[in-house]
Amino acid sequence: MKRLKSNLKVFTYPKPKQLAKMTGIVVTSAFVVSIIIAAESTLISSVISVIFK
Amino acid sequence: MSKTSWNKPKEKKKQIGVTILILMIMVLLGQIPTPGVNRNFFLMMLPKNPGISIYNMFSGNAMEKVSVLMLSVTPYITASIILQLMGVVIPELYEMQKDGATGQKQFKRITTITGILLGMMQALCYAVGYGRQGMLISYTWYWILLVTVIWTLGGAVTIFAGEIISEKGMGNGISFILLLNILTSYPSDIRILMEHLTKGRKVPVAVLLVIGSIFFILLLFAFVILIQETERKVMVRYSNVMHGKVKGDRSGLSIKLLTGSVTPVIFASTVLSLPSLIASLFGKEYKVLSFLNSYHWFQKDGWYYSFGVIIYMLLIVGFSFYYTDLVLNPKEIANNMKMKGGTIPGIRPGRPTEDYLREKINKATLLGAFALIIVALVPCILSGVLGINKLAFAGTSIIITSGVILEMYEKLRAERQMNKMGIFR
Repeated sequence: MKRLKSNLKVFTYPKPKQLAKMTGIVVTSAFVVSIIIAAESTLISSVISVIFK
Repeated sequence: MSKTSWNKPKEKKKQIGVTILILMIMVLLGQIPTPGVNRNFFLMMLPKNPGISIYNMFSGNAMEKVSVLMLSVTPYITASIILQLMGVVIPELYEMQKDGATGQKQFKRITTITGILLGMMQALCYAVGYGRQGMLISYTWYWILLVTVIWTLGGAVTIFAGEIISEKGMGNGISFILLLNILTSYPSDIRILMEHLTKGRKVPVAVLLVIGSIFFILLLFAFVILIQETERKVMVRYSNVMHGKVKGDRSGLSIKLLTGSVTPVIFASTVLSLPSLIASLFGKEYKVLSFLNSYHWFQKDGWYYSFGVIIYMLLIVGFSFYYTDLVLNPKEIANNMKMKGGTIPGIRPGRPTEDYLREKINKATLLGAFALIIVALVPCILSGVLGINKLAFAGTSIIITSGVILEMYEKLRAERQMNKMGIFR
């Protein structure tokens, strides 16, 4: 455990504020884009189902 | 990658436009169903064969919908895995990947051709194997041929779309399409998770569970970003003789914890799911293959299947080391440093530098592999405990999602900074 701790100390990590900002950017973009894709998919699939009927 | 790293604002807008347009076309094509195919076949088959659900996730649920883009990026991913592994047996392939931009371009071309050929094989196997089990409305050579041609073309179109984004768009096209496919699953997966957490529970308990799960997902994203951004800096001092004076210059060599990003997990999952895929093509179910199926891990019934996790972990560690060696070869770095007059303070150039770097890289890779194992096992544990078969926003997909989004964000931020400084005005 002591060795692992000293091994981990040599790495550089993003600061908590930076990490929170990055998480916010990733989560927001991922969910916004996924909602846009879902809306587009629903619209297209309903148009396609009308065409193929 | 784009031809130029730094672009004028007008060009940037064009690149963003091309990327969005291509991705929208891919979403549109992904909704077109394949003719002559029973659309309920995969809906009923996938829950029984969760081993192959990774193909469904990477294709953006195209397998479930039996769309014309059913194969999506999977043949390209399989091709790149095979070719990179073949680098062990064929040294020319290994050298090609290390041979700068020209070699990588050649390697990419070989991957594209192999991807299309593999796509054709995969389409034929699906059409024959699953067609015999009721996927095709009529199991005749005509329908087998038609479906094979449609799916092969769908796979080829996806690869070419990826190449257009790489050439004229915002960057690595295959990563963008893979991200798009993964994000397609998010809304439906959230709905499934929420239904599972709230069904038959009292309102306060359900609310607490929903808040808890949102917090857990955010924590998981933060953990993945943390391990992706963690690195070890090794100081390198360069001494140059200019105008008869010795000039010292300091620079840092960064060793990332996840040099190969999500690649080792994708490699491990694909290798693990191959036997299940082959068996399902023949309509067979072998008990022994349940060891390799993540759906059977961490479950009370058949707890002994969880031993398959050990194989999964070993594969992740093995692929992590193999991929890191491809990207960060200590011998090459030490030689390059020696040629450019660089030294690590306190370490002699040549072999001692190589040994020093190897030790540091190996330690970082091992830690990174353990972190990857933790992330990769989260969906397996969740599916075992909660009994939910597929959760796209857990594990591997988070690494791909955050990796691609952060890379794009950093690129856009850097370009905005350059524009602010008036470089392109």
